[in-house]
Amino acid sequence: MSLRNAGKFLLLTLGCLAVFASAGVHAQSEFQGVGEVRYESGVFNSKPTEADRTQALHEAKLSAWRSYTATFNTARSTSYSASATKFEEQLDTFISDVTVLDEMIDEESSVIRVAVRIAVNTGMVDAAFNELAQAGQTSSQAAGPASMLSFVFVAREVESIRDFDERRTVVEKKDSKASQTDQMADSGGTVSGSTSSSSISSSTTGGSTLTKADEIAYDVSSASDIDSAVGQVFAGNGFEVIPYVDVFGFCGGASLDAIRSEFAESDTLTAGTRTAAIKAASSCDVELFAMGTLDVGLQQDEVDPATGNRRVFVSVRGQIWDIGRGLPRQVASVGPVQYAGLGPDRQVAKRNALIEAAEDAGRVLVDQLNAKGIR
Amino acid sequence: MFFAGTAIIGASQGQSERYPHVSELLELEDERGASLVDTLLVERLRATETGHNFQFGELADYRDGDGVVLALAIDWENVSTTDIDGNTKYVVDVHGQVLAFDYSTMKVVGAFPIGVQVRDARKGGPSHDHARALARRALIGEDDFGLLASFVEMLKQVELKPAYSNRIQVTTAELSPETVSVVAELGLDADAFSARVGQTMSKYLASNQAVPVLPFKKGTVIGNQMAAQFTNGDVYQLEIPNPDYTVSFTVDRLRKLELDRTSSQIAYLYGLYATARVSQPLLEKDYANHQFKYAVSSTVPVGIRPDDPAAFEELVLSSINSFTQQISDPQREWVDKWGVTDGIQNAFLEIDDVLAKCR
Repeated sequence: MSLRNAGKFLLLTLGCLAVFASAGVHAQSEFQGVGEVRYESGVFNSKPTEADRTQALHEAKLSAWRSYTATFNTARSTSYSASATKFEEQLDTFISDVTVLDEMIDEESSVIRVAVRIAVNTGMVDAAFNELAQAGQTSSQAAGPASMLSFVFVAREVESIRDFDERRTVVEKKDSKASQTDQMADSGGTVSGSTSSSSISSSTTGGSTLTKADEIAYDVSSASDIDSAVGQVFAGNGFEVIPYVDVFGFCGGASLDAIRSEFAESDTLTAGTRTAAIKAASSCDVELFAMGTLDVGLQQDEVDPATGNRRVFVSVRGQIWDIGRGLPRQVASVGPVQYAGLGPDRQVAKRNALIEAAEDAGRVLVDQLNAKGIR
Repeated sequence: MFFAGTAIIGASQGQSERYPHVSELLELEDERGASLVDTLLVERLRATETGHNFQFGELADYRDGDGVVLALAIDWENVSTTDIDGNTKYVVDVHGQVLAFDYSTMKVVGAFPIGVQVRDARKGGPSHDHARALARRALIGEDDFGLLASFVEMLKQVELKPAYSNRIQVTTAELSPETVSVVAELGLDADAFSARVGQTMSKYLASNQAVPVLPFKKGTVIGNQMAAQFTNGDVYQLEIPNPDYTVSFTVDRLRKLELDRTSSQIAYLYGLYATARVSQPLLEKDYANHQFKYAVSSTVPVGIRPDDPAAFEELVLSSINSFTQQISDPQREWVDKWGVTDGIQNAFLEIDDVLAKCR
């Protein structure tokens, strides 16, 4: 997965810029860092040289960069660990702005410290990860163009919940025991006798309570917002995205309506529908197939205390299968992860939550694919 | 640069308790049904040569772009009433920021704190209506007085940029344990008092040195986020970037002495010791960490109780104003008279260098 040489890495990265420019991704994140360098002081000069300063500046940029890479998710961290040196060798490619905050020179201990703030061009970083994945393709993908990917992500909102009363079964066992005691006493020629009897009854109660899971019916939709949010992440990372309606149109399989109706009643598709969808995609030369659900939380009057806006929660989960060779193999999965969306009304809040959940889930899935060298 | 109007800073929950007068004043409408405060502010901006080109138009305009948006962000309202010999003394504060933020990233680009205080005294007990009238005077004001006038005045002094290379923020405003006791004896709330110190430090740093100062963190800022609720109902969660340089201000001591007495009046001296520190937190480098003193006098007729809380508040405001004025042009007389620790003159020059990076 590592790159053959830094020059190629840079070339690939720059080549990929066009993709991001067209996608309109110009995100920047700021991080601060301190670099420290011990320098040689001479007999007549205890100040650092320009070279020492430059080295301290570089160390400061590295420190700030490492603060940024510490924010990566697990999959991206895995990808990054394997290529950290390459990234760090070309730091200036990913840093769009450097502000030197100040420097401190300790002449007694011959140490120069420099503090900087950097702006990371996260679009460039994403592009580099994408190219890393391309350079180190594994799995069923042969070296060459990007994989064709199709996906079905549906949004579900609880339509009705049927909850069942608890069923209690009581079992009672009754026992009774009777006993009689005869006593005889001989006291100086007089014999007296007495008889006492007692009975004990006990009952043992037990049983069981049967609680049946709620039956939840969902209103399912595949909103265009979700399609474009997920599609943009996949396409932006170099995958060739094939809309599932085209897969169905050209290669048959399970219709979108059939998939939706099954998701309306269950969290998973029946084996038949899932197989039909995957077979159709595979016969259309699709190599990666993604499926996921975004569940909108129950309608409640939740108000964000900071903004006063309505807040809606969306829980997302999804998987990607490698269907390019033989049996489908799950190569990436996400969730369930919950996201909150804010808006002046429930509709806007829901839309914001769905878009954020879809985008973020897409990014996590792409990072996992990149970590496995799948592109 | 787009002008987005007026906003209240802080969580929506409890807003009417924190801004009882301002929140209602912002609901006043002009004859077109628009916010009266916004309309009056726009009129002032149009009538004044601020040196900046603003786009007013519809709010939708700035949503489509990725430009910098300017707003009047109100972040503090305080009304205090004190009974003095059957009269009620009112002190009304309304503070805010000339706030510039990047609409595409929702990040604060620069902030210039402003604030107005109105004092009044009336016979009888506290009156809600009179407090409202004073709050209106503090916010809307007239002629050159009021927060709207301060907003325009600040714009005339400062350079608005799409981005500033460095950022400074007042991060700490503290009272020493001894000062907390004095403040409590005065019947003042120590937390509110220290918040006012931080607010005032930010305000005078910005106005006396024409430098953007990131909003002072207090109750209205949670973490690095602050909610801004505009008069049209829009609410944005704005991110305050980390400061590159920090300012902390500690009130070390407050003292009151009888200075002079005649048959008709008594003169009191109100004094303080305070420490100002300007640092680069990553390097743990101090550009200034110096103590200074300051004093103001107040004369009252014999038989009249001096208004100590007001005198001490005035002292703190005056001392910070005076200290921040020295930064760009330190005067030998000031240093000799008020400087406590050695090297304060050089410290002013160091602070000035830091501020130059932030303009």
